[in-house]
Amino acid sequence: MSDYLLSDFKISAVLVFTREASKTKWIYKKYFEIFLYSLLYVGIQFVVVLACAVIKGNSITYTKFLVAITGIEFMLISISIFTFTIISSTVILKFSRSLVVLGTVFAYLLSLFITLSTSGLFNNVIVKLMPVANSMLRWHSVNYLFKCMQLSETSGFSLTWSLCYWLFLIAITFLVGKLMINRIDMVDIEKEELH
Amino acid sequence: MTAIEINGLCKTIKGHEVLNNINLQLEKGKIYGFFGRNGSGKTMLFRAICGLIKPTSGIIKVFNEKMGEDISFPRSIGVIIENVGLWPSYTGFQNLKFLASIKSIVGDEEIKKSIERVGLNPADKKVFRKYSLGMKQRIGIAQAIMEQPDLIVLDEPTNALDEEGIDLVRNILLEEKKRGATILIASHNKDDIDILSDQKFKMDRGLLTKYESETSK
Repeated sequence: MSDYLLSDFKISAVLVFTREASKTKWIYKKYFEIFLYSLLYVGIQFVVVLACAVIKGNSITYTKFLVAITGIEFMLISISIFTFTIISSTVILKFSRSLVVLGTVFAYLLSLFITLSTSGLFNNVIVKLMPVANSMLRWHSVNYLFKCMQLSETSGFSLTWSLCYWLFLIAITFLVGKLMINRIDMVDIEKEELH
Repeated sequence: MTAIEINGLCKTIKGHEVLNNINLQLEKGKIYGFFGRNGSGKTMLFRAICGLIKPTSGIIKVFNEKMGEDISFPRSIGVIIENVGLWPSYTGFQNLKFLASIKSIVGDEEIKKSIERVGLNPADKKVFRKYSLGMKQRIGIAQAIMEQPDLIVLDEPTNALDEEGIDLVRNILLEEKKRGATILIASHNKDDIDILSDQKFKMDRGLLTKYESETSK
């Protein structure tokens, strides 16, 4: 999905854009489509997991908790996938695909490494960098993870904080996307024959 | 009525001045021809008029609306710039239907009619990637005229077409002019320009010069 915007841009930018009312409207429309695809993608995963559980014959011990966990995880995972996708698909308009993929991985690892090496608080790092992960750590059994990585109990999970974190990132991306699409030239400079 | 007004348009890319102080005033309902060798700036000028590039300096007005301020793109425009890029796994009709869905001002009948106008069969199940170069060019012309735009911008419209195709496209453009459309054509084939244009312009190294006085068609 990271090249979702790029396909309009590369295949027939001229034909698509000259029919759009504005560049900003186009990019927001595309973000909305990515959001719908993110919901669909995560929804399918949840349905598959549920189907596997039913086939295996697992029973529901606490319906209330299952609904809460599923609801919160669905929301947070969808939002996080949406955020990562719009960030990379926006940046990819300006830079090459491979550079963006490498850059995303590098930026993530670098931020993780810096925080780890300076604070040594692995649990908090997960909470801060991946709020989605902490809904899983909060309610799921992660004993194997604790043993392998010698982690202590996770605490301090807040759904509100997680949502604010993602909404802030999304707002920034929307702003950057708007500024970028209105400044970018819709032309493949590398292929351009300059006199 | 003025269709396009350009004042002091400059565009610099990677230190190269690809458009150099372009000043232009084009009237509505006429055909304007631009010629010059490859890389002379014709396509870049068309991109600027279509709102696809941001000028380094200068003003472009299309039907009295300032590009980049009043509008991002001209409100009523049909375009072919360089190769016709359409979705490879769609048929010609599906591609045009998708493009038409963006503005939603024409329906299936108008789309079919424009495909027939360029000599193709709207019911053809062949997907775009299997089209010959000539067919690609024809479907490109079809998408440019299907919404009956006020402004038609065509970069090398007769590329890859056979004699019959060239005549067909020339007739379509004259019909569109009769309808009242303003048409801009860029070509390195001077025949297209000579036969169709009310006024001709030469581009060289980003500079635009009027080629000869206006002739009536």
